[in-house]
Amino acid sequence: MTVLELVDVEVTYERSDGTPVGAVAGVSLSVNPGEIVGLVGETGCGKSSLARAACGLTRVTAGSVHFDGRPVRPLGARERAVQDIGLQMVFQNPYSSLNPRRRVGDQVADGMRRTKQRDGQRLTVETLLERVGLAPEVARLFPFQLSGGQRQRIALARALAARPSVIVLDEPLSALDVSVQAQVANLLRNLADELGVGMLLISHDLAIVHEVADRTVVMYLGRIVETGPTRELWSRPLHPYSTALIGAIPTVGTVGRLPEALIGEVPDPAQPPSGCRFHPRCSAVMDKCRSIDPPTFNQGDGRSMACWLAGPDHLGRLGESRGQWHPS
Amino acid sequence: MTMAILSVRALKRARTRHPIAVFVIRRLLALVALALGISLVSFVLTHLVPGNPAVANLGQQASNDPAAVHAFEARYGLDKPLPEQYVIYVGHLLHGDLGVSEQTQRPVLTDMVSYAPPTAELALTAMFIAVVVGVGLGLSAALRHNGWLDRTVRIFTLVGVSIPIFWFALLALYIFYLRFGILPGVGRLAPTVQPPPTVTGFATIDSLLAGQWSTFVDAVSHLILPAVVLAAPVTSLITRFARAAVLEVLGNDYVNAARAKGLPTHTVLLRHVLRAALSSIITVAGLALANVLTGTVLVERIFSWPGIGQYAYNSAINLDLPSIMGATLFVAIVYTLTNLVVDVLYTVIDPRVRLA
Amino acid sequence: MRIRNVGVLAGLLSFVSIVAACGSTGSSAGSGSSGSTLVVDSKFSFTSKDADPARGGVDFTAVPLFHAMYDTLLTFANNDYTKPVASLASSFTPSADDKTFTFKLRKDVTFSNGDPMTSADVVFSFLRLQNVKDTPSYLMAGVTSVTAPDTSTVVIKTASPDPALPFVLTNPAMAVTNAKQLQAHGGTDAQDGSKTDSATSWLGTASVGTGPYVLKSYSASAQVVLTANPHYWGPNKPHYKTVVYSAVDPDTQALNIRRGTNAVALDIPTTQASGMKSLHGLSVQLFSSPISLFLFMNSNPAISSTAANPDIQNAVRYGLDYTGLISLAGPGSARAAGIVPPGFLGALPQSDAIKTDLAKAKQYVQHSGIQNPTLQLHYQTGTSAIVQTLASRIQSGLAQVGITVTLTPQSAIVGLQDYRAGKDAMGLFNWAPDYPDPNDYLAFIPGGTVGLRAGWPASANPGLAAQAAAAASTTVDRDRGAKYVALQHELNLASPIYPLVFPGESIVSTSNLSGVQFSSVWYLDFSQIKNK
Ligand SMILES: Nc1ncnc2c1ncn2[C@@H]1O[C@H](COP(=O)(O)OP(=O)(O)OP(=O)(O)O)[C@@H](O)[C@H]1O
Ligand code: SF4
Ligand SMILES: [Mg+2]
Repeated sequence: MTVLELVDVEVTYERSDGTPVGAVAGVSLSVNPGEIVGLVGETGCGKSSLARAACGLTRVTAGSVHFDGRPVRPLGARERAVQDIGLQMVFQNPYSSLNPRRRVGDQVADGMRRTKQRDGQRLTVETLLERVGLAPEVARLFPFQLSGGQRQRIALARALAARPSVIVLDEPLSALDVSVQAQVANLLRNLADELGVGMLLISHDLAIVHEVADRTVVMYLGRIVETGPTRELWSRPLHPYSTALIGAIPTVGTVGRLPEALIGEVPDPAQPPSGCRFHPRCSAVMDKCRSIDPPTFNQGDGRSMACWLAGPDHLGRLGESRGQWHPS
Repeated sequence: MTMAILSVRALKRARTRHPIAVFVIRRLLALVALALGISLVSFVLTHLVPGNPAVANLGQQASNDPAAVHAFEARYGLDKPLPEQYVIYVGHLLHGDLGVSEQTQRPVLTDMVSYAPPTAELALTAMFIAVVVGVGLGLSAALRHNGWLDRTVRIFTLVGVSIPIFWFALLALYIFYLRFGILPGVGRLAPTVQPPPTVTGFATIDSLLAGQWSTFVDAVSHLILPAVVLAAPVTSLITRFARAAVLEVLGNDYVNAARAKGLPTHTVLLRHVLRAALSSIITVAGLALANVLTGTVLVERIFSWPGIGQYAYNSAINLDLPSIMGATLFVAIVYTLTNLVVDVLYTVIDPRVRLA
Repeated sequence: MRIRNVGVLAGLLSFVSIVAACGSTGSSAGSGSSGSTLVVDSKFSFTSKDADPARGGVDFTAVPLFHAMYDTLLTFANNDYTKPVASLASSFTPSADDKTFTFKLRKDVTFSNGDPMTSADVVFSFLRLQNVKDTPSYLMAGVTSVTAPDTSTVVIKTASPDPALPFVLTNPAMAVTNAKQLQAHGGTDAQDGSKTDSATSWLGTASVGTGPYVLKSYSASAQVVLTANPHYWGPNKPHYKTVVYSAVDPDTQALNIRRGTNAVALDIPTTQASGMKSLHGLSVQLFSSPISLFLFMNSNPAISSTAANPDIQNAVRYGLDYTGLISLAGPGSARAAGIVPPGFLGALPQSDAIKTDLAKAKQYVQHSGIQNPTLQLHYQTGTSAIVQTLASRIQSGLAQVGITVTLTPQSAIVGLQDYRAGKDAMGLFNWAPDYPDPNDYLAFIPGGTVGLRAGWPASANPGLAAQAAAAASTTVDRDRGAKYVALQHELNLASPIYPLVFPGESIVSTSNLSGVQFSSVWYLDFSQIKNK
């Protein structure tokens, strides 16, 4: 049963000169309880836009976002509906995502009354802090008295206070030290396992996603190009882009760099290439790719990808020809 | 020696325990030095003005009469060398004696005591209006960023800062007083109304203290127009700053986080947005008070408001040196104290400064 | 959210409007008021110095107050300023040489506290005025003694014949004050009064005169409040029990008067005032003030050889566009035919004024031999708007006869100093009468106060100086008048000081009032104003 479901979501911004930017151009995605879905992609490919759309911070231009079977209403000046409170988020920058002028305990406690309205239960700040591995005394401190890792734990505790069923995490680890990243990543895994919270974990640190995600979604220029269970996707990427991405990651704990195999500039999302959006940089590009946008092909075992290599014409070729362009 | 060490230690201890108190004391000591500096500068400036106080104060006939000029100069010590005049002035200043005004023949301090409250009443009311309306408008505009209210507010604030206060005052008088008569004209009280006994010097408060309800209403209605006129430019200033500050805070993820947790809107605004925007609002309010004080000179003249602004103006055109010096010192001290208050508030509301 | 905010705004607005509404119903919104209060708007800035007749300003904003609270020995009646009449003194007799003046005092006069007025009070008041050596003390110049042979007789002696003394005595600064009361509050008539007298600030809280009104309060709301003197000795008790003399900016006076009742506005610019004639419920009086605006050229060659050149001086005399200047000076203004204002003894009729003669002026320029004569015109800014206008007109007018004028406006304080020191090459200034007598205009003769400012010592024109001295010491009024007329004819032809205009003034009052009458001595007499 999915708790968070995105169907054909599009997010289009308008630049100051009026040109539309399709940051997210038709994305479908779902998150199940207790499942961590890792979303990876190069910078500027629309991950944050997707995350913000997923929790209602950005209005979707087309498509729909459902939480618990109900459409998510955009987060505006109006008080949030109690049913939506179970959809929480954790932000990238633990410095700006905590109010510097309030004690962290108070920030964790915010909105607990509303949570109680929903399910009659009220957590204490201490339990929450304990759950994210912090001592109860921390509650009395101000953000500036905490380290980056502690702050991100506070941000997690703050989200957990709403007893969420889904948390969207936009680069929650990228501002942290490498050693701390692993700790917090483990914490996420435990929370998902113990509390059954579904998570959409966005990161361009592929190693982290590899470590904790149940499923991985690969995004390129506003589109999902490949989806699959993490282990399979990682050991046998199908899409040429995934292959290039994953082939570039040596070990856990190294921040993902732009894969060497990916030459050329990331195209401007305002003027996406015709046909397959990846074609100018693809080493397996075919004539068809240049003119026709590949649909998403189901590959079985919960895997799917959007590439003509999986298309009907190439079914036979796929298996045997892999070696030709797979770098390994 | 031991005393010195002890006091240094005590100071250190105090500094760690009461950082704000030590800060305030240090600033107040600096204020004394500053006051002396200001007195020197204004003394030199006023005495260097190429005008002769005797000529300015005595009429066309008396200023030709050496005896009258001499009597005048002797009375105000103007016949002594300039450095000596200053030393005498500071000596008196240290005893709280600002000299005697040439125009009013009263001690300048007495004048200050009677002219400061009307200005304070006017300026504080103007500040209150400016802060309440400015923050309210700035907040509302920011919350509807780029909406019609925001656009309107932006236009109005632009007009507000560029409108000449003199013209605005006359327009306001014309509309509300002459045309529709909903507000009274100039002055602090209607000519027929007996002023309440002076306690605070604020006509509004004193009339309430005296239990004179109708006098209070009269005082308030006389206060509205000048206060609004005085408040207009700074309201625009505060609105613009508040709007920018709120917009900046709204862009912070902690506001989104708070909203996502379902906090009621007003709680989000109070706990997060306003609180965070407060430091820039306090800063601009400090600036605004300076603007308001400058504005009083003109507004008090147009509205026949018997305050420091008029006093300073009349002193200046009559080259009444003790009064000019007194008014300058007064305004400088008010200004410095305001800055001190701003800094202290700043410290109090920002835990990073308070606890660091 | 949206709703809440709008609510707050609406709440705020309604609060303001409720308070405003209360204001308008709870008190009269107009500055004028009903019943027994008269409201007079003036641009004055009142200080306690202005409550002490011996020290206060002699300008037109302060004199109505002195006149209301204090009486003088002599006064004028029916706007006739050529002949002082009895007031506190029932009669006066000058000696044949005009050096000893004996005044018989009325016996029925009481001060506002009930004390009877005696000759001791008069002596005290005059000597105090003389000894405090302040702004109006010059009125006592030349007085050698003031004595009281008995309780109802005062004798004033002067060093030289002084036929103007009776005129001087009408000045509001020559107020008779209650000696006992003043002495009790630090007043003194001793020789060292300039140092020891300390009654001035107390006089800001109480008046000690015999006038129709007494001081009730001042400045608490930028206004002076007078109430009728219960012990007033005069035959006509004032109509209004209370007079509020309010300091109001000229710009706001026009608004105030339009909403007022029982209200008078003294400083509305004449152009605006003449436009108000058509308004219902107001009556507008325009008249020329006795303040003479004049131009002068400095005859001291050390200051400017061009200005001191007699030909250039004559060129300016005939080159000025007098008619243009009058029309620029605005409604109510009058051409200054001579330096003495109309209505005063010895004033010149309009027909005797110097007439513009450009041809003659050009000839003089040519005759001077000065190529491109250039002059710097000094004047004060901030005193009156018309001065700037007139200065520009003088500039453009003289350009027509080939004289270049550069304008040098100066702040009031700085400008006055150079002018009084005689350092300005050319100046546009004014003279307010200290008392309505032509003797006050001896300032304009060679060697006189203004004469010296124009670099024109007695030695420059001994004939004129002698003629003036003769006029000054003439004792018979009729002869004095004639002598001053003759003197001014000469001055108009020879003096480097050119009378230009008596600028217009206005008094606007609500039309229910009668007796609103301009006086060139006390400006306005509150006690004469009645409700029709
Ligand atoms: N408010 C906006 N207006 C216009 N364009 C925008 C706006 N926000 C984002 N974009 C554009 O949309 C695209 C996607 O941005 P987004 O922030 O979603 O990328 P991202 O994948 O999160 O990148 P990163 O890894 O750097 O965080 C970018 O090209 C960006 O320039
Ligand atoms: S569709 Fe063509 S261009 Fe696109 S990824 Fe597949 S092979 Fe490469
Ligand atoms: Mg991002």
